[in-house]
Amino acid sequence: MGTTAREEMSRFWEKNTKSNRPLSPHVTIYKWSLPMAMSITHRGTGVALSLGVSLFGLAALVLPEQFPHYLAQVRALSLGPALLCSAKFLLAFPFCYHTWNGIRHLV
Amino acid sequence: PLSVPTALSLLRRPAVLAAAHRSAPARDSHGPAGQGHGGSKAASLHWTGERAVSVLLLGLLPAAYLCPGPAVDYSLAAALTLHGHWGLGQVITDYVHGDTAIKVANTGLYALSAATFAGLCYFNYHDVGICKAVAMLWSL
Repeated sequence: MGTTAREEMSRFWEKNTKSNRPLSPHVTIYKWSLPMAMSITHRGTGVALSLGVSLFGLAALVLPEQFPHYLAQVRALSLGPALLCSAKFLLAFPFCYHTWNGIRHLV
Repeated sequence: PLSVPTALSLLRRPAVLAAAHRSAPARDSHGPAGQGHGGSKAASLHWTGERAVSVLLLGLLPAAYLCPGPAVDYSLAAALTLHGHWGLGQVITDYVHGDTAIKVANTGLYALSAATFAGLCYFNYHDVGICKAVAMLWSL
C-alpha cells in the first residue's frame, strides 16, 4: 500500500533535522499580504486570549481572596481614566479582533 | 496574488498538505480536502466540531450580556475552554515537530485546559461567576 502520510512526514523531518540545513528565509523576505497578516493576528490574539483565560482560571484556584476583593484593590489605586481606558482597550481589542475575524472564517 | 492557503503554508513548517490516509486527527484547519480512500472520519468530525463550538461560543456572547447567570457561566466555561484547547492544539500541530515533543506539548495542553476548566468552574461556583465578573470589571 506504500507509506502513510504520517510516515512520510516523519521521514521528511528526520532527514532535515539530521542534515542541519539552514532554513531559507520565508517570513523575513516574503512580501506581506493582508490575508497573511490577518491570519497570523487571528492566531496571535487567539493564543493570547487563551493564555489569559487560563491565567484567570488558575488565579481563581490559587488566590486566597475572591474577585470583588481584588477589584476593590484596583479601584483603590485610583488610576486615571486614560490608564483605565487603555487597559480596557488592551483587553477588548484582541477579543473583538478574534471574534470578528472568527466570524469571517466561519462564514 | 498568492492564495491564502499557499501564503499560510509559508507560516507553517509542514509542507505536506495532501494526505492519502488521514491517520492524524486535527491536521487541517481549512477543512477536509476529501477523504479519498475512505480513511477514518476523525479529522473531518474534529473540524466540524471545532466550527460547532465556535458558533456556540459566539451565541453565548449575547446570551452573557442579555441573561447573565449560572447557566451561561458554566456554558461559557465549557465552550471557552474547549475552543481554546482545540485552537492551541492546532498551534502545536503546526509548530511542534518530533514525536516526543508533540506528545509532551499535547500532554501539557491537556493539563492546562483541565486546570483552566476547573478554575473557571470553581470561579462560577465560589465566586461571582464569569458574566458578573466581566460586568464588574468593566464598571471600573
